[in-house]
Amino acid sequence: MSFPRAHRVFSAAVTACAALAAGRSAQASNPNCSSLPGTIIYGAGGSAQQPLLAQIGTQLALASSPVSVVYSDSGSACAGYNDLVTPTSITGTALYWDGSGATLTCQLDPGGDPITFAIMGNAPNLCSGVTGLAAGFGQFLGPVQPIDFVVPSSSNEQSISTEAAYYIWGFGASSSGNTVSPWGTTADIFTRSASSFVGLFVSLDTGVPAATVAAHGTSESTNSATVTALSALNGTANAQAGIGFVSGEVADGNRSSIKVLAYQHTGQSCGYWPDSTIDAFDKVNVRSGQYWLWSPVHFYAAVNASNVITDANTANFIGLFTGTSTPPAGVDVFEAETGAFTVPSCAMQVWRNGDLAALYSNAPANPCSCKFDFAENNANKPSTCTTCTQDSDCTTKDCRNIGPPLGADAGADAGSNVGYCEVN
Amino acid sequence: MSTSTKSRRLVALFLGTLAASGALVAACSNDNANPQPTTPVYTVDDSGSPTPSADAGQDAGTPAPDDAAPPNVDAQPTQLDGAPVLDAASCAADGGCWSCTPETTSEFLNQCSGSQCSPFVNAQRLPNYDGGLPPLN
Repeated sequence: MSFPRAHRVFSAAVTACAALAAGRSAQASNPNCSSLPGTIIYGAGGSAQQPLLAQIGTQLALASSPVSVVYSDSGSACAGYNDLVTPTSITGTALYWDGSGATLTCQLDPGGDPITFAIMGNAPNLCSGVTGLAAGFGQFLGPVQPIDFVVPSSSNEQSISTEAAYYIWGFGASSSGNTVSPWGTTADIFTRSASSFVGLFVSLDTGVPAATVAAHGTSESTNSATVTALSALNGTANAQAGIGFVSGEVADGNRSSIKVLAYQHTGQSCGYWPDSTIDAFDKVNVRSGQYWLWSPVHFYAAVNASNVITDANTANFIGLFTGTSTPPAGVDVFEAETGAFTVPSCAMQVWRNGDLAALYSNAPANPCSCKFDFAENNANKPSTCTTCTQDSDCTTKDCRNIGPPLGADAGADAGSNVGYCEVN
Repeated sequence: MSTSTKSRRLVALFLGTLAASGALVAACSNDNANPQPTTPVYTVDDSGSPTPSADAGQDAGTPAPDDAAPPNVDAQPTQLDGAPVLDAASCAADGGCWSCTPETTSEFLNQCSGSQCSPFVNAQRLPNYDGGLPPLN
């Protein structure tokens, strides 16, 4: 890992603060999005995936042939998807990333800018009024993100169950006889719209209608806004009463101010964190299937009859996450995914075919579980997970590095760089 | 990581289970019976710990394990070390957690692991909770 964990958390927090500040600054100080360097690609979607875009956008801005990623998360997950498939141009301001790592704001064209990709954590059919993927558009899956229930960092709470979430967002704090202590104050229960990824997932998980989830608590417009609201409760008498839900990407970048709760799904008798401990970042329980609430990042773009993305620049961008395009020199997708606190799909030992669908064993063709364990300092990684330079170094017989700098099988490039002993 | 010893956890489980439900068997299938306080953190490994058995029920919101055809699962249950298991019931017999290679959603959720966990005791914390969810207003 090139970034120490503490540095990454700090950077994420700085980026989030910068985004909040920049997004509200005078529009006159914002550059026009169309004047940004290099190739410009426009997208829209949820705020849950903003950290991933910040990571890859920063790297692409520094490439020798730079790419400027312009992204609007001012709507919601479903709003971004609808903007793509309707289609509807985005207007006002949008986010972009330069090489500094800061999240900046640019001014969209007064007539609006069409988007060529959308991102959300859920499949389209969870969006109100949508029955499935729109004709002429394709879905492409990226790294995995957990959905986290979170409280102020000063809260004493450690865990929550499916059933407790049903009570909290199903009845609300004002429902006499149905409140869950200490979460009994409407103002300190935070929720999201019925078109946000995390709101839809809490609905799907608990069985509470999305509109009901959205109606119970103080509604926040983005994942970062939920973090800000919960953070503000630290040091107040209401800190114990605060609770909300955000994407793991956003939660993990703000652990200094919020606490991720262990989640006990129906049928479990103990709550688990996405990670092996409350302080770890190893996503062991997401990867093994012991933590229920997770979903891959969903990319959407226009495709041809062969399900090939028709816009070449968008194809190159989304292909970074699906493995169909070669990263430009200096761009490390693994680094971007882990830097955003997501799990590369090659590190997942389970998978599911749909939103919160049944789990099954997963054996990636080019696994990176050991590399991920090293990157995230998993203290309990398998004893077979060691660094290597050739296949014969590994009891697993497979010295790999998904790269860069190596290819999928480091054993074929013996001796030149470090690899990791993967299971297959 | 939990500082509780294995024996301490087992004793706590046993006593607490009696207090909560009066039925020891329920501890393996119903989290209502879980008597542990809300703040402790445990490790659920295959040495024996307070976890439900593999046949712990799932609610209607949990997709059936057979909804998707798992392409990479073993037809024959194996222990986590890869050794075959002739009697699948033994996978959950010792500590309650699923000690064989998980194949279904319930088994993945309840597999033995070295991870910390913290129970949320529905019966103690949810008003009028009897194991089922009250209808929404």
